[in-house]
Amino acid sequence: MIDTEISKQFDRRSAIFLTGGMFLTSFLVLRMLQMQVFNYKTYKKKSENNSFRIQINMAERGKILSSSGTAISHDTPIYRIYLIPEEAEDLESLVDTVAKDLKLSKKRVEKIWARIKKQQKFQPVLISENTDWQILAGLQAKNLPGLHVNSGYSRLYELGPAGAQIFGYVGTTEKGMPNTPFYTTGITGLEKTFEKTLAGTPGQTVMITNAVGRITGEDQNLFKNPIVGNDVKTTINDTIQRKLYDSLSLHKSGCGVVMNIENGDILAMVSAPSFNPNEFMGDDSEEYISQLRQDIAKPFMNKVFEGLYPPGSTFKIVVALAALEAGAVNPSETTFCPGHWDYGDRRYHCWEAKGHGKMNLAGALKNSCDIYFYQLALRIGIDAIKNMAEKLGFGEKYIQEIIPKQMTGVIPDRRWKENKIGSNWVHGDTIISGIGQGFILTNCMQLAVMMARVASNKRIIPRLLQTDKQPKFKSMGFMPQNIKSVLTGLEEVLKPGGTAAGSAINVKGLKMGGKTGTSQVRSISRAERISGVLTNEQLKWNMRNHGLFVGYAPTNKPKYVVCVITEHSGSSGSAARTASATMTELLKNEG
Amino acid sequence: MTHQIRFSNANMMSFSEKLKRFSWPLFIPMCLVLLLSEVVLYSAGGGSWQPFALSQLLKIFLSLGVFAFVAFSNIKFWIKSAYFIYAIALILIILVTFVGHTGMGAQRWLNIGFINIQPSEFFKMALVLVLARYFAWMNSVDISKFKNYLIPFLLMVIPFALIVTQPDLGTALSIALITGGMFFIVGANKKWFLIGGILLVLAAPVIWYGGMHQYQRDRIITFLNPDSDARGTGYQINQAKIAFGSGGILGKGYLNGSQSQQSFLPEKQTDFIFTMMGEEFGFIGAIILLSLYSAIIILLFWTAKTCKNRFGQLVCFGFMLNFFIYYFINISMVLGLVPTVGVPLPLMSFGGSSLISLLFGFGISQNAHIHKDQQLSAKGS
Repeated sequence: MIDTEISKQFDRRSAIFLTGGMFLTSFLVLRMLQMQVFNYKTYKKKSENNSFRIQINMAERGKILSSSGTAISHDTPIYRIYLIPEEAEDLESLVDTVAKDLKLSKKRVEKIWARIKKQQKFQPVLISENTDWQILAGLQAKNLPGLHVNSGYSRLYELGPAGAQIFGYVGTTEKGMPNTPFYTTGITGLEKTFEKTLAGTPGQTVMITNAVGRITGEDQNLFKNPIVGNDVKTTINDTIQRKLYDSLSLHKSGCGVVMNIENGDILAMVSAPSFNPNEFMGDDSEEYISQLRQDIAKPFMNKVFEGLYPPGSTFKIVVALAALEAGAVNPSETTFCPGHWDYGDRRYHCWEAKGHGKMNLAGALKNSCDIYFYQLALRIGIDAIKNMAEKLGFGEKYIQEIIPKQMTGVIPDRRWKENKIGSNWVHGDTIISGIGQGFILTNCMQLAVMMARVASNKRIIPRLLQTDKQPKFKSMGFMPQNIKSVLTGLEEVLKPGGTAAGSAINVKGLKMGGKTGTSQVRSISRAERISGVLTNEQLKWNMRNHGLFVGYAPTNKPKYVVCVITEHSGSSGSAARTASATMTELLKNEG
Repeated sequence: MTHQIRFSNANMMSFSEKLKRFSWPLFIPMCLVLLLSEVVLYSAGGGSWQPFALSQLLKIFLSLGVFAFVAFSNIKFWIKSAYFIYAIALILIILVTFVGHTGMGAQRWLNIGFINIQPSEFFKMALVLVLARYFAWMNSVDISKFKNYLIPFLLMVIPFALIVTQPDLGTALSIALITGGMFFIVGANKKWFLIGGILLVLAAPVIWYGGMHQYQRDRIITFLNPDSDARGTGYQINQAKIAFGSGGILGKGYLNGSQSQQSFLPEKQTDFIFTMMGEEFGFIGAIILLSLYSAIIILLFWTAKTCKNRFGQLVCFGFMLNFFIYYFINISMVLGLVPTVGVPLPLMSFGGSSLISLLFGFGISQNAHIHKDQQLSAKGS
């Protein structure tokens, strides 16, 4: 028990506290009464007069520029009309008036009403973008409370679908800035990667409004000017970009890249089919986007980096160089191709069933003789092939800081097969690796880098952003005569009798060298081979072979490389023609 | 110093026995205020669970766990560990003063991995515990001796000095008031308070010029004349007053506080949450909250009064003081009755540190109530 003296004291003194507490609390109550009951009207009026609206003045977004300084993506000023429901005197008649003046479709009006019901009353609802000036002036003259005009920017994509996966587009996000419904940020591609550089800093105008939402003044002290974003200067040549896209678009699906060997500049980079971000803003944008999403040819995919393909015969360049560097083959040494080769208990076929006859290295490249490369691969072994492939840049990511999403593919060896497939590496695996089939998977960018490194004997690294500094590339250290032996074969490919004979470039005095490839998407069974292999026309689109072409030009002094892949095109002809047309355009413009 | 130590052989209570003694009247108003805080935070998020309501809900559940643990624990544990808890809280205060994070011009936050904690919030409860532990076993003779107040004064004044330099005037003031209140209730001589008051008035100019940050001086100047700087320091309090006053008797309706929702009422989810309530629910809403608070105070007082052991009584009383000071300072501040100091509205404001320390307080008061008939010794045996 607490002793009585202390207990009594507690009672006495706590009474003082309670009295004090009641006294203080009554102060609070009186103050509340004073503010909310007696002075309610004063505060209400103050709240109405004092209410202000911050209008964000959007900053002009920086441009994405081509190598020549022309804009690829840039902002263009537009006027947006929007309404704030709680400010309207009669919301229905306001929407009706606006719909009539702007000639809005019924669907659009429905969308506006859906938006009004979904949002809170003080949040803005967009009515129209790209409003014509005269109609706008007419509407403003009517002075309708609740109706607002916001001058902002709309993004224009000059190249449209050509490289849209790479340059990306802007859009509104939930995470955007508060109280700014029209604030856009980069959603994909360079627009996203360089958001901070491009975005700039929005300014603000603080408008003081009265009870019905009419603007009564502006607080000059809080005004802030927007700061324009910085430009991003790319290495893209817009003419070549368009040309590559246009010729690639003749085929259902594919990708291509053009590079300058001297500095690694990516001049063009295209994935087809594509999408046109300029059409993302209109009323029918939702239908357009859902249509794109359903397309089996995947228009949103950046196939240059994300598409993985067996390199097929283009890989013969790697095998040839590996064998030469290993000293395992003399370029003039010949192999006889009867159209097939029996090794172990299996028969390996050449694409030319009749056979090529006697083939040296140049001839084997020119005719893309499979038998020659089966035997060469077996002679040097998978480790030498893998080693060379990695030196030439397969299995790597490029400009990853700009394009984060990339697939690196597979350059297999013994350990890889044991881990991934769970069985031992056999000679048959080495043999089919010799023609770029089997487990090998590469992307378009890697093939272009390979071609660039072979053509230049330098460790070329591609770049997409312009810098003042001219990059210096290390030598690959290959024997010049070995490079020459390979390039001689590649020159033959585009000469009469070669696998890309019809695709020579059309520039006076200049020639292109290169290598075709046809990569199987499915394996052909023995039974089928006996009963007659199905022609590509008989197969479903997505079971047909891919066509590939890697090339460089001019042959006397290599400056550019090109790699084109046409998906499921059946043969390499389309890829070679696309590459040739693009290279022709490039060299012609150079004069 | 001779303590009048009483021994008791009271047995450990079983859980069901504790549950029977649990004070529902003390528990229910607390829960009602917590519920109200969720309602208002949902509105502060613009009619959304994000970013405040959901996050706070998790903190409420966590704090209720702390509450349950403390309420049903053995009171002897708290007697035994009072000094230890105080030491830890003091170490945290020292840490935050030297390595803490700065927010709103004050160094109050300690970042431990994924969360920020505000040690000064926990310190208030630690102080109540240690003062109750110190005075509980003093007889009426010892209690009137001046020298017996020197140690507890030091226990307060060291962290007080540190908190002032953070600078967190609101909390510093709170702990000074809690200590003063505790001294008074245990039976300190009334003359000492008079002398202390006179000393404080004399020291005021020194504090004004030597111990305060410019922004604190600004706040007081602004308080005395809010229109002197309507867009700067006075902006906050002016906006708060307009928002609150324009709520009227019935308020503007849930989610419709135009000032809080659309204009820039700063800190509407933390220190100024009462303003937002007042705008949306009006005088009626504000009175309901104030009534719930008053009910909590009366119930805490009753718990203290009916407690048959001195430790439980002092802990309850100390917590009651803490709770009252919390909401009185906060509401006075947002109504423009005192200068702006950073004190949250108890159980209502967004934030975890204050919530956990408050529910710890409610837990320990329940604990005292459950053990109110037990005789306790200073050794906690």
